[in-house]
Amino acid sequence: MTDATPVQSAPSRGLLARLPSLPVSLIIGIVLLAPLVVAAVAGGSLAPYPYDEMNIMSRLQPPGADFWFGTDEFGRDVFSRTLVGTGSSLVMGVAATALSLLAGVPLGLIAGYKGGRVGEAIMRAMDVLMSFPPILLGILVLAVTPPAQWKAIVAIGIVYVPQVVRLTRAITLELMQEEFITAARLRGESAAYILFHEILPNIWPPLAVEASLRVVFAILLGASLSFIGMGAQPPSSDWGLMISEARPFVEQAPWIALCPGFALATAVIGINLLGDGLRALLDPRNTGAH
Amino acid sequence: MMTAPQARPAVSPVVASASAPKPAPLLDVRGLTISYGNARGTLRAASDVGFAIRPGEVMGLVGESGSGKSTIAMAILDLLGGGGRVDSGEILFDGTDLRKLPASERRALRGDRIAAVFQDPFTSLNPALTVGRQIAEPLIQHKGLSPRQAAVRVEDLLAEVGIRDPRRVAAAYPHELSGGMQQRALIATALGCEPKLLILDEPTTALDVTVEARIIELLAKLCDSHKLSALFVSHNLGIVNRICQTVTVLYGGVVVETGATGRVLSRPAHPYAKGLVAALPRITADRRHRLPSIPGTVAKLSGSPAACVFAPRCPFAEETCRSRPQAMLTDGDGDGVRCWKADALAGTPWPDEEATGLRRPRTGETAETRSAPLVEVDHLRKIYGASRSILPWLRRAGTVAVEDVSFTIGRGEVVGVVGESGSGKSTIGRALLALTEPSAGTVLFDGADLTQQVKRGDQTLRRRAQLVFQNSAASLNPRKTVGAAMDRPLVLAGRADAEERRKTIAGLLTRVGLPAAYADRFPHELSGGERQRVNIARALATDPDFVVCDEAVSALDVSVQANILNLLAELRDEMGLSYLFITHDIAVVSHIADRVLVVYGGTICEEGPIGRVLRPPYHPYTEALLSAVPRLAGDGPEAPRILLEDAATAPGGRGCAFAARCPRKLGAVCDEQAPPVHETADGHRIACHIPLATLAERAAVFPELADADALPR
Repeated sequence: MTDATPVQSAPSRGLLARLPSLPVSLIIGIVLLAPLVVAAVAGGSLAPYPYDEMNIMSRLQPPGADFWFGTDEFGRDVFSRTLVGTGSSLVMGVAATALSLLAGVPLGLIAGYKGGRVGEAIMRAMDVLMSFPPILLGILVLAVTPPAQWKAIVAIGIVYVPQVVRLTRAITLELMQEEFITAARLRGESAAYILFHEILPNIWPPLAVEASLRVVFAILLGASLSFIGMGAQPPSSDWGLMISEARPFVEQAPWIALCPGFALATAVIGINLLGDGLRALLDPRNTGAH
Repeated sequence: MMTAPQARPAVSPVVASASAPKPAPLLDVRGLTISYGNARGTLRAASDVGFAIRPGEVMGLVGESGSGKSTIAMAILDLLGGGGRVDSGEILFDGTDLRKLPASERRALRGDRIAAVFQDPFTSLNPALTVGRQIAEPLIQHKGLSPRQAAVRVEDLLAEVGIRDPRRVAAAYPHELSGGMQQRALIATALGCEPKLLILDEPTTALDVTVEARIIELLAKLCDSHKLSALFVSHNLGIVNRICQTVTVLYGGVVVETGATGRVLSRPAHPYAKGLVAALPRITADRRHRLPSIPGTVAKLSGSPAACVFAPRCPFAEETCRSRPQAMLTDGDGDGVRCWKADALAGTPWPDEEATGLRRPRTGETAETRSAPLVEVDHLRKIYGASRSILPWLRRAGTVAVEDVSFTIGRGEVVGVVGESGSGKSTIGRALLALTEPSAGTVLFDGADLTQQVKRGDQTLRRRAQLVFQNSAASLNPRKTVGAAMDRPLVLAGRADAEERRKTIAGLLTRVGLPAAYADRFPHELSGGERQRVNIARALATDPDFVVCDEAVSALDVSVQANILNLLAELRDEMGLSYLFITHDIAVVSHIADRVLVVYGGTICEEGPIGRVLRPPYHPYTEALLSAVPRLAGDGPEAPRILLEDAATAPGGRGCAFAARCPRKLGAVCDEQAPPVHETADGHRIACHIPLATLAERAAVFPELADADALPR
């Protein structure tokens, strides 16, 4: 929030100087996610083999010197495919979450601040949305038109809007009782100022935690959509798709699912820790060594 | 370092003979050191604390927030949580060190031989279980009674704590009982297993004053009849004076003084105790003077004290005080003081506020004689939760919060509103600020209807009326610096120049006695008193004419409370502010208000200049309120207390709101007819069926105030 604070704030220390006081979970989260981000950006050029190069001679090879994490049923290098799929999976999670925040936070703020009929209308609409099983909702969005990744992102984003609205509304309702909101009304602030400058900054920390969980769920839901053929399409690479393709070979070649599974687990843990660290970092009570 | 437990055996021969006949203490705490640790370091909550409670004795453990008094009580109960740790010391109960007992034996003692009553009855009872079942629980657990036997005992216990209909109350759920009844039920729970020692942690702090008076009476009676010993943890010196035989004063986790209650409160030896006693607002004090106050804020210790803990705030401190820790000096009668200058200071009182503390001389001119009043409230009514509907089953009458209230506030006048919880006093304040819309009646601010203006979106008038809240923490956005919080009102007032605003903020902070550099701090970095100063500064930033102070000093410690009251009085005098001062504490309001409204059940019972309200004739409720004001030993004789019944039903209906609890109720007329208002020439109004002449016959609660000349005007 960029309040025009006329008072000179204390000289802000650089991030590096503050490193020792940064939350541990934030640091671990960044360390876990950094290689994934590198893979997402440079995936193709790092891969030892082209991700879609089939080689019937070397199908279902166990991990070894040539293929570090083995090959799949078409002889494609699992490691290369995982690397290339990183981008698609991370984009899926982050973009879908961003979408649900973008739609959910304003709706939740309005529902909490206005209350009454407006609030009721918003919340009942969310109840309707929640009553659909997520997968079904995803299928509904995707089934009528040919599958594409951006459609999957929109579908997943919509699926998670109600959760974001509910959380935002709950916190807003609680904050509305706080006396600093009364103080803002007394000095004649507009509803928009109160919502975005008084309430929103207090919503970010729990929202950061919520969002980090959402990213994880979105990746997993994206994987399930790919699994049922509604997300990423073969031969393109995606962690969810890879795990789904590995299913028939789990007994003969369990390594096909191992590498994307491991990548997914790292992303899940890393993002969760990052979210928790962000929450701690955003809390003014935790900054500096007062 | 000399310590209390070492000092105790080192007695002179005279002392040995004096202390010989005393029985061995039931609870003997020696050298107790407790710390709280987290990632950022450790905090000493108690350093080398020692005290003893003899059988049948009630000891008060007093101190301000952060003094460690509750921590010590919790350590005795073995309920220290949240990183709290007993580092050293002994807690001897009946000669056995509780710390050396295995956990299972300690648990068996707790609730059986040592019982506790905590501050908040509303959260101490489980809302999902009947009261009777909760009282029976320890009986079944510790005494092995069958549920049927326990039920019989529960009714006896409830009767013993003064509940008239024990069977009904035992079957009731907590929400069906008033706060006073809930606290009685908790006392019954504590008494159930016939404990030897009661730990009472602020047992009346959450209750209304008239209810508090009754609970204290009950506790005193029970301790006497059951020969109970009790540790009474409190910040309220007046209550301690009523119930405790001995008192131990804590400051910063260190015992600074201990002794017989009468002696400590009338002739405190330690400077901190002197300050505490002096800072207590007294109804009988000369209102032309500022309250004495203790400068600074409570110290937090991180290790063993290297100097006197109170030295930074002590007006008598000298170099020696800051260079070495103080030893407990005991005289054998159980009196002890941790100050090497105690003897030299014996006759020296706490210093008065400096000459500038004198109030602006107030002339005979009263608000009424000046131009039009600033605020006019006319037949204000507020009903919550009412709904009108064409469908009969959707109609609800709602709860009446304010019932037909009219009054005015003059320019530069301070009007106090005194009442207990549910009296509608906060609703009146909110209606005056257009934070809630009146159900009927009007509120005029400077001749204009504020509610209508706000509805139309015109906020200019509203900025002239501000609010100072009770909860200094909740009223500041935790994510904004002090400077950012104070900057907004200035921006909204159209002050474009950031540099100029910065100067204004610095000026306002200085005005309320804070360093200008506090603009960069976050609220959590300030103490409660400092935050309240920021709240006041923020309210002043809109340049208001009128400020509603809603229990603005109630959550503060006595020493800080005096500071803030003085600040408010100063600002009133210098800026010509008007206040509506809402409080439950009639002693506080008597210090600052020109006029007082006493409200009960949404109606005004009595209204008048403060000097008139404090003297007879009294409304019966005012009389009960005044008699409930605790007085310290040395402040003069205590008036007989008027104890009110617990409210059985919520006030309301056609008659007098106070009828159900009134000790002087005439009869059916009180229930059925609204009381007539007796009015005298000097603006003193009493709403009561009892004739004014009869009301005037009552003796004054504070005889020293009977002489009108003793009052400011």
